[in-house]
Amino acid sequence: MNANPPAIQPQPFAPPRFLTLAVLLFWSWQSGLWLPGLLMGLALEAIPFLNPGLEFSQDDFRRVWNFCNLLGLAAVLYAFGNNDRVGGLGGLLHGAANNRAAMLSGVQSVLNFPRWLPIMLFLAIAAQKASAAGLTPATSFSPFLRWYRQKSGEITPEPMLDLSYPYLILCLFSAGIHANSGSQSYFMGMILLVAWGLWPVRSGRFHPLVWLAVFALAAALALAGDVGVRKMADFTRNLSIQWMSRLLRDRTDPKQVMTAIGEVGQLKLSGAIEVRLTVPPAAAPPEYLHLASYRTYHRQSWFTGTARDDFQEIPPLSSGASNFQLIPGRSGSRLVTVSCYLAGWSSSLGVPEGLLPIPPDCDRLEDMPDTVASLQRSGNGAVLADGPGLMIFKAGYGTGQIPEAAPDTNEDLAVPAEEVPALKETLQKMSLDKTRAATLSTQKLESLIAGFFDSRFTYRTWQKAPSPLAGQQTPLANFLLNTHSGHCEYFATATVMLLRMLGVPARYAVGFYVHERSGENSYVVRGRDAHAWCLVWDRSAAGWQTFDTTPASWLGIEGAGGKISQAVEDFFSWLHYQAAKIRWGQSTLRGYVRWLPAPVLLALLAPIVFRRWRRVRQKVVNGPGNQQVFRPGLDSAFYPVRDRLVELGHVPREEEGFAGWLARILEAKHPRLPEMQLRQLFQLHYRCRFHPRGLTPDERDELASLAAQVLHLLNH
Amino acid sequence: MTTPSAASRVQAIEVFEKIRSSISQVMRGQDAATRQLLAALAAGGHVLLEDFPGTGKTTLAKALAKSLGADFRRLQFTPDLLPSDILGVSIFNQRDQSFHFHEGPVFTNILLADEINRASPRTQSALLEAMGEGQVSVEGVRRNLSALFFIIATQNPVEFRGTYPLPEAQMDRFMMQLSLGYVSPEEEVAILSGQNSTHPLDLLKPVAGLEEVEVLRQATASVRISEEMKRYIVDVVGATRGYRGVQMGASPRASLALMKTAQATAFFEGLDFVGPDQVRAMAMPVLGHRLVMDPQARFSGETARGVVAEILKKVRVPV
Repeated sequence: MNANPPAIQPQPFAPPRFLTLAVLLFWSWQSGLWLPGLLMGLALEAIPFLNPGLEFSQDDFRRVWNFCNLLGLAAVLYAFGNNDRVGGLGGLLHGAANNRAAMLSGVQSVLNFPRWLPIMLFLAIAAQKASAAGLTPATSFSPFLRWYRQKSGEITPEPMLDLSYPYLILCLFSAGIHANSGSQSYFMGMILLVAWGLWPVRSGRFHPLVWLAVFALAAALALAGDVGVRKMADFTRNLSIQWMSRLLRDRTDPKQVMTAIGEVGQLKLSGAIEVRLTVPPAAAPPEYLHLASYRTYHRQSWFTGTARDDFQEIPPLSSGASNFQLIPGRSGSRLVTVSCYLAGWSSSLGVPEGLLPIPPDCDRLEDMPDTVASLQRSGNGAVLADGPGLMIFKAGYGTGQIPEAAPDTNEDLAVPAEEVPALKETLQKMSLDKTRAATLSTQKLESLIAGFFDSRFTYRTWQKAPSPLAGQQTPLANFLLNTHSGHCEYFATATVMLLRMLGVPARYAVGFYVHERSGENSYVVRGRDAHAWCLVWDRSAAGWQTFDTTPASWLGIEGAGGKISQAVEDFFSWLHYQAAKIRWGQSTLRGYVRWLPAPVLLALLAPIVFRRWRRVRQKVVNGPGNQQVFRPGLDSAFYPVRDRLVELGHVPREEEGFAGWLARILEAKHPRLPEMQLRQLFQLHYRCRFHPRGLTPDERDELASLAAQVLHLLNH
Repeated sequence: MTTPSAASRVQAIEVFEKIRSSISQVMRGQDAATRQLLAALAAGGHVLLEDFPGTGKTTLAKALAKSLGADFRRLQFTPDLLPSDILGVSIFNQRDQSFHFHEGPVFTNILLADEINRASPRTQSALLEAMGEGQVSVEGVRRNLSALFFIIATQNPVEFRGTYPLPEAQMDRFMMQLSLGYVSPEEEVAILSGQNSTHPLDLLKPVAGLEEVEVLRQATASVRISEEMKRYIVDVVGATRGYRGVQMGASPRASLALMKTAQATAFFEGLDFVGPDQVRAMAMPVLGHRLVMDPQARFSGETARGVVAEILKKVRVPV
């Protein structure tokens, strides 16, 4: 019967009765928000019964949508404030214990935002249901669309959207973000509700049983997919933990460090800023920042050996204080402020964890953040901190005494058997042996070894593949005997081994070398400044001393990089640093974070206020503005008839109006024009266009068929 | 807003038809004016009839009053008419030694204010409160008028000697201004033969009471109007403000009047909603008398009605 249906404007496509209530109840069950779910569901079901048919203008819809946005924004801020306790709104809490508890509170609250979505969008869907059209103008969602339509002259009918089903889908999605209940109840409930929603729109061509079977198949596939994805996620999570632990072990694990010794190709060095230092005016920075020392070398890796579990908690100087003493009774005259990131993660405490880069002879730590959960040091000089991801503290140093345990006669003199031949050969070249070394002072020995490396070895980050002639040589032997070139790890390892061969206790130390100035009193340390050197036991002084044999040229080689790209990278690194300061509560900005929502809210409110003000002004100054009005019925099937009538010469006059035009057409006594049908068509269109509630679907069909008939008669 | 039942709509339509046919027995060939007059009645406004002498202004008012069976007073405005002659006066009663208020002609249902522009502005203004608020304040006491209070004022457009033009505020309080105009020769012949023996006015019988007018008014108010049509009304009225040659445009009261009369017109046509045709039909009688023209424009022959006609052509009509 409907020959030429008007296709532009969708009719409201309402979900079956009580489905909305059921979905909202389901959502409230899954999310635990019982009361809002029940109230909203009842309200949405009641609106069609009351049938208020309010005439909302486009502006009203826009206002409702803006309000929903504001509500969403407030919810995001609330969730953020709840979660990010340490750095965010939680700055209100004081005391280390409170802060720690807050940091451990987990990510629960960030999940609240999607859970609240049905509440936030409730007004939008309620406004649509209460409106006469039962649809929402698409332009209320997008200022761009509004602007575009205004620019193009708004001739085409307003595109309308039906939010009913999208809202239900959103509710189901939101119900899926459940924290406590099992996944099976959610899945089964969702399947049932989806079936309920799809049942009324199933195709009549197939038997309902066929439909049910297909739906069951789809549900089974979905269940299988769900389980599969879960399994896959578990698998990759396990996998990635392994990867992570391998990557992070570098320089953050106090127990072992894998060197790049023996790896072929270019050593990759990062320009990322790892540590920032600030020194008092006119003071020099510490030369080295020490992370940890290692004792035993095995297959290109250094291990802590027996010192691996001797971590001991450092008590603060007084209860609740933020100062810690590493060497009792000593206080060096120099002070440096260190900012570093804790890259690891402590699974037992649930906070970031990492080794602190401090000067090798650091004796005390001052002004530690009060959110530090634990501070431990080991016998080989490593200080392990658990606490905020960004640590800013002062390190006191300058006594020259390295706070490490005295040498262990086994481990600090051990040399792997496979390295011995090459080491012996090298010592021969230096004409050194154990007996001669015993006669020399440590300083003399150091200068001999350093002179040997300086004169015969070069620094190189690139390693070619070992020559086949080298046979079963270890990488270290290859370095000492053949290539004579390598990076700091080769030099430091070789020096430690040589010293041990000579009966001098030595350790392998890892950390950073400080040389890059970034401001008047500040320095930055990049990933490529990571360095390895030796600690030598000085018998006469009965203490450890740093000893670096890497040729000084290494700084020039490693610093060679793009200047511009480095500057850009540094800028982002600085941004990240500032963000981390706020995030981990190490900035005075923390106090202002609470005010962060204010400008955002203002920015969102301003257009509304401005628009209102402009509207008022327009009315006063310019009279009626050209503000858009909701114009229903522009998709009426009458318009093709009108165009045809105009083609036939019945042009409507400006002043005569609708009835006048019809009268004139009828007066012309067009031979094939059926008066009755034309009158009826005009009446229906008039009603469709100007009645606030428009036409019923039946009347629409009638209008369409009448228009088709008249058009047919006019054309033939 | 409660929608009246279909039954009361039918009843209201019947009321309208009865009054209209009753008036048409007397007023021949004035169907359009009759409809407009009834629209003002149904919309709760007052009417100013402006036309040449002898075109039937008074007859129309009397025909309406007789058809309604309502209380009807007629007041001839003269230059020496005083406000108390309209509103009423307190007279001292010797017998009980107190003042008694004697209600003036304004305490009625339908008041015919004949030749209203002949009274002084002071007297004309005595009607302001009555027309606007349906009440009068005499000697500090507020007295309510009856629920149905409908003023039909007449004035003569050609004769200016000894007249006081109505002030703008007063003009604005008339919902519409009608003119009857001369009827066609055939109709005029029919008038002659109709009044050969008796005046048809004498034969009129009341066809509707006050309650039925109330039903009519309620039915009119329930006619629906879309945002778009409200916008169209506001656009038309707004266009008169600052229009070339217009010193003072139409007020928001004019927009309100245009909407209400358009609702009434739609109702008379059997519609339950307002379309552009109804608005356009009412624009001239509702807006024409409210515009104050520039003296210069007036001298160059432009009229307020001409401006309204131009505006109706210029403002885009929803189609």
